[in-house]
Amino acid sequence: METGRAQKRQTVPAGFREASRRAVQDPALREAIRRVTFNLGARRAQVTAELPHFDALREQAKRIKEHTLAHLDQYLEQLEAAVRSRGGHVHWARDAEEARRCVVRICQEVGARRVAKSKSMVTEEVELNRALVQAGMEVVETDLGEFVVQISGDRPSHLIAPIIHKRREDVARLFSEHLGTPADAPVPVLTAAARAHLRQAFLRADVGITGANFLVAETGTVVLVENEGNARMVTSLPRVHVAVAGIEKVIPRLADLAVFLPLLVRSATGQRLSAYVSLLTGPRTAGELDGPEAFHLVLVDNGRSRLLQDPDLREALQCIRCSACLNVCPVYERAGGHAYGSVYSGPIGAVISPVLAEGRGLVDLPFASSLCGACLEVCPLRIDIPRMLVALRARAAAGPQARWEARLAKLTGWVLQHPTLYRWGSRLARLAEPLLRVQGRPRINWGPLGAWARSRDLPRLAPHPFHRRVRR
Amino acid sequence: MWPQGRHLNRLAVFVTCLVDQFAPEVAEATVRVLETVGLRVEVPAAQTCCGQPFLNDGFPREAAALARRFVQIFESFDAVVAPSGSCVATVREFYPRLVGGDGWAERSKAVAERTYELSEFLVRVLGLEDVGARFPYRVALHPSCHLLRGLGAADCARALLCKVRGLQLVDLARPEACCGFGGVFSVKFPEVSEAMMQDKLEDVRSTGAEVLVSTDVGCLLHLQGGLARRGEPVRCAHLAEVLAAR
Amino acid sequence: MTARQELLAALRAARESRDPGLPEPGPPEGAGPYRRQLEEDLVGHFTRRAEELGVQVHRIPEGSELAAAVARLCEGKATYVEPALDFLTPALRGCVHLVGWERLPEAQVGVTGADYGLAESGTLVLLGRPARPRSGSLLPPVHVALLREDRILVDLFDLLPRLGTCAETPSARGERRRLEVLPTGLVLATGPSRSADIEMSLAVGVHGPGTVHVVLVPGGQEWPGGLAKESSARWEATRTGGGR
Repeated sequence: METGRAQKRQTVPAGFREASRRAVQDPALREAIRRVTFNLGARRAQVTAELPHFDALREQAKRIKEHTLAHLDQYLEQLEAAVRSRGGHVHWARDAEEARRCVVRICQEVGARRVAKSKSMVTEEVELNRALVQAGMEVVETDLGEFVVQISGDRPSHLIAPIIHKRREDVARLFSEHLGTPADAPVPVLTAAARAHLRQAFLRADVGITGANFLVAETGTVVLVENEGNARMVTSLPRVHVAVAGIEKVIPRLADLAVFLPLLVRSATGQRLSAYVSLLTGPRTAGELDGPEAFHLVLVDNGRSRLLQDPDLREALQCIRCSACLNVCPVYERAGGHAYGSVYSGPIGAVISPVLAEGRGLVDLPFASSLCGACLEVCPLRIDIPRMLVALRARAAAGPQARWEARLAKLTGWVLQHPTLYRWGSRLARLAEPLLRVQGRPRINWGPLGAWARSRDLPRLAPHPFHRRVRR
Repeated sequence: MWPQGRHLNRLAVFVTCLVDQFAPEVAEATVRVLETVGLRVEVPAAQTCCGQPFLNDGFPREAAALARRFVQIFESFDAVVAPSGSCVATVREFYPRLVGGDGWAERSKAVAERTYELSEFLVRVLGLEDVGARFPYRVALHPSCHLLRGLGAADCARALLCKVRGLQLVDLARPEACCGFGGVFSVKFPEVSEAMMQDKLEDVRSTGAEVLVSTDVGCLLHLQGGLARRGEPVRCAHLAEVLAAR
Repeated sequence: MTARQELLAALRAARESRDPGLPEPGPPEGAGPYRRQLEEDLVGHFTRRAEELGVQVHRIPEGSELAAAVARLCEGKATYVEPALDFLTPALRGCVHLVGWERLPEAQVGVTGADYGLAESGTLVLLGRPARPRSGSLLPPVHVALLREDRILVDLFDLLPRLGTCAETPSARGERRRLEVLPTGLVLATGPSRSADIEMSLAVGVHGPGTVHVVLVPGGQEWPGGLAKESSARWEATRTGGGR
């Protein structure tokens, strides 16, 4: 029964249509999204224009990434050797389940009770928190936005600004319930309350869990980019640091950070550098007063090798998760992140989510785009997202659910290949037109005609198509 | 942009399927504009569609067949001009990869190099901005996404409009914003498409423009449909019609 | 097969012959004029860009005034001074309420050195080590950083080649570059801690310090028992292959 229903979910164009329909009817949500995306987008434009060599940096970065992906196994092996030479441990997880089990095991082996986490999309992707809680650990999200997500039982809706869908009033109400702040408190009061509350979490945590923005193969270094300071906290105070990262995060050399960090930060938040960039290499050495005593790196595949093996889609692995594409996407602007039904939303999400979360009915995501190309224009790695969306559409269209559409396409395509048929078809359409359409509205209100006519008058076929007019 | 040492003896116009069916006056205007600047044009009768809708809806096989047809029909011409940014972008960006082996890729690349959207042909190939047009109205330009980003030719359309006598060009607040058409997107996700359209039309309304001009009939049919539903008096016109106006 | 073997095998199968090759490290060509402009006034650019972010930059004319400047900034609050700056504590003891490492969580001010500055972004570079624990610049709500002016570099393209492992010989990098051993914890700190998560409203001092002071000391001066000496000790250890 369950499989039958799951299959049905896959055959019907699923979540995004319905979720986006609801989202566009929510003016407060649209306002909230625009406030963030316009702001970040404008700052990105300004601070990238400051560098006359920004495009040259993009090209450099793309070549580094293409080269790295062409030898990904070798760089991961080099990374592993470097981490181990500094006294760290490396674990390999093929899928989400393995990643969860691995992290839980590490925590259990060190007798951890309390875990402090800094923001990490990959840990959301593999649903790590649930597994840790089930294993009896207390987990605290320490990134301000993720903390709000956690205590409200919500999901993040943007790659780097998790609660853009929430208003201050929502957060004030939450904090009043959970932290005892006065009702409807202003942002500085809310922030101070979070700081004090989470400071305790940092000091008491046994294990700090982070993601990684970059992994440097040459030196075994984990790079963490942040503004709040919580990533520094969870990697300085608890006795164990676990970094969880997708395998595509590796870059060859430390020197490459000079290319990637400006690209990432300027594209993401319009800053020259984020408030803190941590370069962490191994556990603390003799004599050091802080830093972890043990360091574990968990490398996660979870579908990334599938992307790598796919010549059409492997370019998606060049993504450095800056979210510039989200901030310019007209569809994301109106539908919001939750509509994508996945941790990764926006243009890059529409490409990787159907692959990483294969079988979860996200096949409609690649169609949820007007292919305007704004994403490609701002992507620091110039990832051709529109091209990949078109490639994914071809795969979906070859599937069982698109059978009638495929037949229609075959028929229309065939007609268009034969001018005589085309001309006859043209005449037929004009005869049929009054049956389908009256005064700009369709006579039948479903299907594509109905969808068009919800908000637009139907266009009229010209009485005489051009091919029937006299040519000079 | 113009291949070295090549002479413009035979110029073809690709009218595009949307123009053929819904806006034949745009094809007439395109021919007239090119003739006005002293060119003789041919409109090969065998043409139908560049294949873009099939490609974008996930049917590359059908698109490839139409692409090969396009190449066959137009490769004997020195240049091809089309009143559509999106069709030309498809020919340039997708054809070489789409058409398959057996020499098709080279042939399609050769054709792609000589296929132009109308405004980029006039401005970048012929070096013309003033084609002697007169259109005394307040005009807002919506550069289609393919024109703007695919071809990088939005400035060509603007330059041409600036030289039209009597025409007052007003700037949209967000000209680069997609209008929401996107082919099948407009009927697969009509709510988001509509939201994008309404924002674009609000932008147009706030400029007080009398006429909305674009280089793509797809965008125009979508926006025109929205204007009619809203009961707004703003008229839509294709760039070719404005340039042909006297 | 273990997860590791299976994963690597899957990746090996996807290896592409199309490989553009790894570009040489270093700034791209077009970066020349931009970087030269920064180089012409490293202190000025550093100061301006740090101040844009709310950092307060204080220039003192000579090293002897350092203690007094620091004392002023500590304003009688509980202050932690990192071991690398021990040479200052005698002068500070009278006028500043000093707390030791065990009481760091109570400290209101953390005084640390900064190994480098980056002019392009107004960034402090802190190389963690026993004498420079990471938490000193992180836990207290006020961070006072002491930076020698001649340690201000242009940007990351300048900084990163200086970080190496002890396996590399100095001659490979050129004798003129000071080689730093890559520490376990290196922080690039640019401005105070901040967040705009709540309605894009800027909140400062979220987890890290909300107030940052940078005291710029003229370069070329040997701080008594301080930074320069400590760094050269590390340099010697690297050259002889000692240390880690």
